[in-house]
Amino acid sequence: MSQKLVERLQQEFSGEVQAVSNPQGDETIFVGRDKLVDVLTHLRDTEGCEQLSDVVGVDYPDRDQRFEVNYLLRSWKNNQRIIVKVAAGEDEPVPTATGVYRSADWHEREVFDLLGVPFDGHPDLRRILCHHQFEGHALRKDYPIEQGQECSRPEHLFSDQDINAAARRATNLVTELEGAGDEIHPSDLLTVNLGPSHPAMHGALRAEVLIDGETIIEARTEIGYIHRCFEKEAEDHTWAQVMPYTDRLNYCSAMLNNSIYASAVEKLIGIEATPRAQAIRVIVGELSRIIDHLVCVCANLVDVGALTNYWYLYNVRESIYESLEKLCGSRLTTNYARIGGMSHDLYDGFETEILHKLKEMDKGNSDVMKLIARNGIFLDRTVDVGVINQEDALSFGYTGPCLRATGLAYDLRKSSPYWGYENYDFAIPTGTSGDTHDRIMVRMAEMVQSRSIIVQALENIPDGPLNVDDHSVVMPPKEKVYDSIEGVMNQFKLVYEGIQVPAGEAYGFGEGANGELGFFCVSDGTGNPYRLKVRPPCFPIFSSYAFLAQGGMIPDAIATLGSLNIIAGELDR
Amino acid sequence: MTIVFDTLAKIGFFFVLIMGLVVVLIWMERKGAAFIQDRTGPNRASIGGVRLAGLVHPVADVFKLLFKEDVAPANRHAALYNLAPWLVMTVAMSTYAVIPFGDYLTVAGRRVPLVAADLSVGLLYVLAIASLATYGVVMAGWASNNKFTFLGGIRATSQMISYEISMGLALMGLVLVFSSLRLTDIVAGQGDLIWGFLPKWGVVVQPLGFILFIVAVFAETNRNPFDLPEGESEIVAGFHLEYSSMKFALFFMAEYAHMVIGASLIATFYFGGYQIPWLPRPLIEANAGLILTLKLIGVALISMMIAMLFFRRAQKEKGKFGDARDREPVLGAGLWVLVAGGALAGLVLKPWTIGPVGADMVASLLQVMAFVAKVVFFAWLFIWVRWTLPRFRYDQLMHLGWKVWLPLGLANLVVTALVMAIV
Amino acid sequence: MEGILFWVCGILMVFGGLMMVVQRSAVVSAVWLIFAFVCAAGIFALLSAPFLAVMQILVYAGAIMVLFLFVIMMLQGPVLEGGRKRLALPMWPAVAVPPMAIAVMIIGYVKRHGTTGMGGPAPEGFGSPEHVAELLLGKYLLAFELISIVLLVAIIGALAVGKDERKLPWK
Repeated sequence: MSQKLVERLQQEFSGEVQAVSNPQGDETIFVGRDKLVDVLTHLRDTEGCEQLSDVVGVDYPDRDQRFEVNYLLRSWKNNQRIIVKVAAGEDEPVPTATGVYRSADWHEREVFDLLGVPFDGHPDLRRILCHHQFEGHALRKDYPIEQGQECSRPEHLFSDQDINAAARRATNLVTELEGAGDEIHPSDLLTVNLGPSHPAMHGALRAEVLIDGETIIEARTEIGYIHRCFEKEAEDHTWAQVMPYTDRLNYCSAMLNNSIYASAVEKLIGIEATPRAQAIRVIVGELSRIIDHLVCVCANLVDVGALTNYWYLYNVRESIYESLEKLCGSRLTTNYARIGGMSHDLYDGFETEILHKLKEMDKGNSDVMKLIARNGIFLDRTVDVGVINQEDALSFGYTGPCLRATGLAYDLRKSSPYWGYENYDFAIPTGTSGDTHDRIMVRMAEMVQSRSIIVQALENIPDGPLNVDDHSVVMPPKEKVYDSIEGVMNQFKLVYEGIQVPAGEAYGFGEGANGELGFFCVSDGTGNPYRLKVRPPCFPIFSSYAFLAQGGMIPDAIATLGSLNIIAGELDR
Repeated sequence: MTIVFDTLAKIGFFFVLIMGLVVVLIWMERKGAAFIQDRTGPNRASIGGVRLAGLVHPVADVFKLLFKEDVAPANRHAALYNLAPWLVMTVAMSTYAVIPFGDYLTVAGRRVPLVAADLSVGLLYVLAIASLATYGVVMAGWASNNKFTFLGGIRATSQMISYEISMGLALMGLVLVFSSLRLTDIVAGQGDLIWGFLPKWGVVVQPLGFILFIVAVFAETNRNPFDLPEGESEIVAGFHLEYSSMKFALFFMAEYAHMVIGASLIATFYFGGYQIPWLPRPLIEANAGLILTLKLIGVALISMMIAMLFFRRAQKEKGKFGDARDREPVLGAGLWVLVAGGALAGLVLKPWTIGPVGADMVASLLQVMAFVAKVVFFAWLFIWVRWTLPRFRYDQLMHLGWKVWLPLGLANLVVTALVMAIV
Repeated sequence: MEGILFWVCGILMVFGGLMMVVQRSAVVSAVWLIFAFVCAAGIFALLSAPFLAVMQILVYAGAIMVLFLFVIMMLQGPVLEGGRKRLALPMWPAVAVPPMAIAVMIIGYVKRHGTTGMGGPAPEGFGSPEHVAELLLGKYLLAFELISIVLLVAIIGALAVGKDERKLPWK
């Protein structure tokens, strides 16, 4: 099927499209810059690739055209993926894909920000993760990382011209809706900063809004407040050393980050984790998903003023964290998965403890449902608030619960199963209207499904080795190190040189708690990643936030933000 | 001169009652919220290791707030900024002038009505003062010169205007039933019985009016689900965002003082005020001796039971903490034993032979206690609702106020008037 | 006692009125006006008219001025003016005219009735809700109802002027 896709493309664009061989199985093509938009449009319209998952720029200073930009496309309908590559030299602009996919907007800004690849025709090509005063492009290989920069001036997201334009647009809109309405003057509009330090901004996010009364006429968002350039850090570490950094991406579901990163690197190496490790990854991953959903729902309910629900859900989360702490020594920064397995096995009594905690979760969820399910105020506050339709959601790059709330039963655990998810019996809850209420309810329903997966996994957890039997990847056990020369050598090589991942590239992904979490790994055969790009699920979702907030009121914007589950750690990286 | 003295005494009573209730309500809110939310609640502040189940916390709060630095925004409008918290507190306190907390008390042969100012337009006075309550909030919001406080002030204004109307309309139905604007008349009227068994409470004769009124009171006190002027998650803390130290404390206390007023008004208008159902004042006075005796015995029994519980806890948790906290159950048991002892000692004085002066005092005391009990119950209702419901959105609040509550209030008034005209 | 209170209320009220006129900030002006209203309510109370006193606060101070403040704040926004603005008109006529008008009224009254007509105890029940109700719904019923019709017409007129013509239901 997928092989045919490349062939079909080669027929359609004769000679313009070259297939790139990829031993890891990611279908890859290379096109000229001038043909890029045509190919993307064709892929979207005739091949059903509704979604641009990510845009990854890679810097190869030795090549003639030093930058390579990868467009990661996904078709949920036809269940296929394809990576489209273009090359660009310094100061050679790449045509923008914003006309084809709305998610291209922020992805291209990120590539521009971190690598300095200009995009021709992009409507708003500004820095996104780095400060607007920052100079240079951090992910270029020749960027001096020791150099410090002082950036102090805050950025005003609205200029006077912007405010005038917004007032004109608002007037036109009112005229359109109500016949002749009152003119809205620029002085009627008030700019209010929601964030970066605001009780309802989950993490350091900033939205500057223009309000008339309390209605948001226009919103603009700024991110990057806790940008630490994880991807540059990764290039300076061995593949295994990156693991603790992944904890800090989505600190609500660190286990999932660990496991999916490990899987991505395993894919590049060409090994697969043992069945037992996979089952453990499923169990701790689903626990993480439950924790993530609990935190999202409880914080969202606090945002709409229902404070008590917070405790019914948060107590459960704390209780599950206790087990995770027992398992890996830490609550949030778990660092539990390893490339080729897990750091250690489950402890005795884990199963009964988790089953008990799942009962607590049922109690908490049913208490909350009793409070909110038929509460008129809650329904008024969430139904038809922050609505996004299926088409926009796909175009903005929505995945996970936020996409499923629009009514699409798309889940990576079903469409491209990994870790043996095909063996578990679970359903994909979906919403109908893509509003805040549906997002909350989809999360509530997914917790029930995760619960059932955990129960099945705990029942059928296979015995056998935890780690793959390949000591060029996994640390040898201590007896071997002490007793044999091979063990000493393996230990030495792994500690000093790191895992020797073969040169190549692979996109490993999984269903994170909030959507598709992907790691695009490029290796040059040394022990360190040449390029490691994270595809955080909330990055494209947050790019639509201004779109969702406009036209609503401030309380709506707050309720919507809570239901999108933006985690600044993975948003800003 | 006696009138001045009486009035001062009554004002003093209310001042003590409100301030005492504010402390108790802050404690009740914290412990109540903790109870509802499956947690322990405040349990750290202590005096000599004794924590009094968290009752020490409000004391600690007072000291903290008194000694905190008063941080104020540089570009505030100083005069209004300083005036606002005092205005809020003053307005909150002045409503009490017309609320009757008992029938009368005979002091040295004079019948002293237990209300500070028995205005012929008392009900309108309540509404007038309630309408002034907006200003403190609005001034605070505007004078702080902050966009969030400003939004809070705007929200407060529109919310209070909208709900004053339905509040007034709900009360007008009550005025028709009891044909007086005087609060003492309204409460006295609620002492009657309908068909010989049903107390003629406001809630019985005006059920719809009661619902309208209680919602309007919730809206006027700015508490959840109507806490939009504060709207913590939306506009940070709303109108009192820029206040700190004692000025913030005044807003904080005013919120609870407003709760006490709200609860007092609900009790006065719809739950018979100080009236004890089926126990009118002449009946109490006639059987004062018996009632007092039964009451003392009851107090003694209940205190003994509580003391027993403390005692058992003291035995069970002996040396659990290894510090001053171990003394708590012992002290608790001792305290309740003292109460029981006091009640029993009262029996020695032969309360069943009480004279007419004593009977009068017993009757007044019982009525005041009934009033306070009702106030505390409705204050708990405020707390209960706050920790149960989410918050409205601005336009939904307006929709409810103008399109639902206002027509309902009008309909209630018209129907009441028709019924009163026919009956 | 009442005499002292009258002078206190009266002086404060005039002071409040003056302060209202001379303020630069519309919000502060409104606050002074509310202050003057409350003082006026005090004078009504002293004149044995508790109903009018409470109505003064309820309607003027409590309802109308809240709306005024709301509108002023909506128009002005939260940011206080940094620099001092000069008023377009000279201040003194606004300060001088009201006292002159009051003086003219007092002189006219004294000329016609002499000084003896002022004061005197109010009859029993004067100013009570019943009394006001009897006057409004008895003696002055026609005027009262006519005023309500005028107000209704004014509201409809305001709506008709304020709203766009095409949206009126009868067109």
